[in-house]
Amino acid sequence: MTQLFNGLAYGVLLLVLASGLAMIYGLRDVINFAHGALYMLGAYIASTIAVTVNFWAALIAAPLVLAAIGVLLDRFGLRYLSRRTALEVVLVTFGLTFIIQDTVTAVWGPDGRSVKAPAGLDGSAHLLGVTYPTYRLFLIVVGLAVGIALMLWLRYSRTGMYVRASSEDREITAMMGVNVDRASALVVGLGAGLAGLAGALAGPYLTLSLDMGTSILVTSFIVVVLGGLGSIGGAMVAALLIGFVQTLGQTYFATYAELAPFAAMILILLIRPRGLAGRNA
Amino acid sequence: MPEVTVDTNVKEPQPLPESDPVSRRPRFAESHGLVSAMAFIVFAIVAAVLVPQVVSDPYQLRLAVNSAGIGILALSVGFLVRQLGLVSFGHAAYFGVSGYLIAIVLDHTSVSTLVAVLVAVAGSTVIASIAGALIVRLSGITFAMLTLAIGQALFIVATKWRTVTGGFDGTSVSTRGSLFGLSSIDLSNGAKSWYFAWTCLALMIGMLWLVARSRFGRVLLTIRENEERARFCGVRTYWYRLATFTLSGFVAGVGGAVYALHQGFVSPDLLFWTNSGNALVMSVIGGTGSLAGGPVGAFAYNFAQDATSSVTDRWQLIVGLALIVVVVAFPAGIAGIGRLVKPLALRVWSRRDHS
Repeated sequence: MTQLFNGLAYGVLLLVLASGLAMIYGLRDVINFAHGALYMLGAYIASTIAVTVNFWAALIAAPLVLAAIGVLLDRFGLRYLSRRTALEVVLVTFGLTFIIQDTVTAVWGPDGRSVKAPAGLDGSAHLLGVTYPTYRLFLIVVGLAVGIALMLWLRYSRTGMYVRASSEDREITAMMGVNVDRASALVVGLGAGLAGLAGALAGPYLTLSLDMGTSILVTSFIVVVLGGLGSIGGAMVAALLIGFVQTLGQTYFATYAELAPFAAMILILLIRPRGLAGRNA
Repeated sequence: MPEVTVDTNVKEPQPLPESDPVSRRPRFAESHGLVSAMAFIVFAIVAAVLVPQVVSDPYQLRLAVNSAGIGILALSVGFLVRQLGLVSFGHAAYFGVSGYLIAIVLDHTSVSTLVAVLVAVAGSTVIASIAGALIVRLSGITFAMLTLAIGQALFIVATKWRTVTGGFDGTSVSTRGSLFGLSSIDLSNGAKSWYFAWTCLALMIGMLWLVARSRFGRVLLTIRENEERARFCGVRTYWYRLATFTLSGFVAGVGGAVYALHQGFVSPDLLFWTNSGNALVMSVIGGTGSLAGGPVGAFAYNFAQDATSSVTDRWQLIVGLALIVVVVAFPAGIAGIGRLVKPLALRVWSRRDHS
C-alpha cells in the first residue's frame, strides 16, 4: 500500500510536468527542452518564498511567475519561430535551458537545498491501514485535482475547445476566427505555470539541486512519448503508469529500477509505435 | 542488399531554393570536390605538424586533444543531422561506452591496447546498431526523444553495474605496451597524443566526406528530403537509415576511444545526455551544413570556454545565448562563414589565372 502511494506521488508529479509538455507540443509543435529548467526555477523561487513568506504563498506565486515567463517566451520567442523547423525550435529551448540553469546558479548558488513541509502537513496520517507522510498525500490530492481540472477545462470550456482545435489543425482553426497565437501564449504560459507548480510541490518532497530538472525531464519525455505525442490524456495515464513502474521497480529489483521506465517505453513502443493514445507522430 | 533502382532525381537533386546551402552542396562539391579534398589534406597535415610546435602550453595542448575527441563526437551527431535530418540526443552514450569498453577489456583480458580499442569501437558500434534498429523507423521529435531515452538507459547501466564500471566513481583506462608507438604516458601527454587524436579526427572527416559524396550519401539526401518518395523509388529507407545511424555510432565510438585514451579515465558523466546535447550544440554552432562544422564547433566551444573562464563564470549563459543567436540569425554557423569566403577566393584565384 505504501508503495502504491509512493508510485502515485511520483506519478502525479510527472503528470503535472508532462501535461504541460504535451500541451505545448500540441500547440507549438515543439518539445520544450527548457521544461526541466522551468521546473527547477519554479522550485527555487518557491523555496525562497517559502522561507521569506510561507509555503502557501510560494505555492501560488511560483506558478504565477513561471506562467508569466511562459507567456513572454511564447509571445517574444516561439511565435517568431513558428516557421522554423522543429529542430531549430528545440535547439532554442535547449539554449534557454543553459540560460535558466546559469541564472539559478548565479542567484541561488550551486548547493542543493531542501524545503520543509508547512505546518499541518509535516506529520504523517493513517490511511487505508498504513501510516503515510501527510505532505505526500497532499501532493497526490493537489496533483490529481490539477489533472482533473485541466481535463474538464479542455473538454468543456470554450477556451479549452479553442486549444484542442488549434492543436488538431492550427490553420483551419485560425481560419475559423480563433486567435491561435493567443491560444498558444495561453497554453505555453499554462504549461510553464504547471512546471512551476510541479517545482513548488516538489520542494518538500525531493531535494532541490541544479540537476533536478535534467533528470526528471528525461522521464517526462518518456511519459509524453508513451502517452502519444500531443495527447494530454495519454500523457496523464502514462505519467501514473511510469510512476508506479518506477517505484514498484525500486522495491523488487533495487539496482536497476531506474531502467524500468525505459524498458516499459521500449516495450510499449514496439507494440504500439504511436504510444498509448497517439495520433500520427 | 539487392541493387536498388534509383530514379533520376537522386542523381540530380530537385532544384531547391538557392538560399539552402545544404541542398546546393552536391553541385558545388562535384565541381570543386578535388580542390576541397586536397585543401583539406594539406590543412590536416599542416595542423598536425604545426600545432605542437606553435602551442607550447601543456594545458592548451590537452584541451586541443580533448577537442579532437569531442569533435569526432560532434562530427557523428552533425552527420546524422546533415544527411538524414535526424537529431540525436544520445550519442554521448556510444562515445562513453567505447571508453568504458577499452577500460573493461584491458582490465579483464591480456590483449594488446590496439585490440582493446578495436573491440571497444566495435562494441559501441554494435550497441548503436541495436538502438538504431529499434528507433530509426521514427523521425523528428519522437526519434530525438528516444535517442535520449536509450542514451540515459546506458548511462544508468554505467552507474549501477558497479563491479564492472566502478559506478559513479568511474574507472581508469590503463593501457599496456604501446599504441602506434605511444605509451600510456605519451597518450596522456598533449603534445605526443595530438598526432594520434588529430589523425583520427581527419580520417573520420575524410571517411564521412567520401560517404556523403558516394551514391549511398546521395540516397540519404533523397530520404531526408522526402522519405516517402524515396521509398516509392524502391529505396529501402529503413536499411539506409539504420546503416547511417550505425556509422555515426561507430564514429562516436572512435571519438570516445580517443578521448578516453587521452584522459586515462572514464566516468558515467561521459554518457549523460547533456553531453549529447553539448555535442549537438557544437555541431550547430559550427554549422550543420558542412561536415567539418562539428569539429570546428568543438574546438571553438572548448577554447572559447577556456578563454572566458578567466573573465567570467557565466559560461553557460554565453553558450545558451550563442546557441539561440546562431539558430535564429546564422543557421549556417561558423562553417557558413567559410562558405561565404570560398567562392570569393575561387573567383579571385581564377581571375589571376586569366590575367
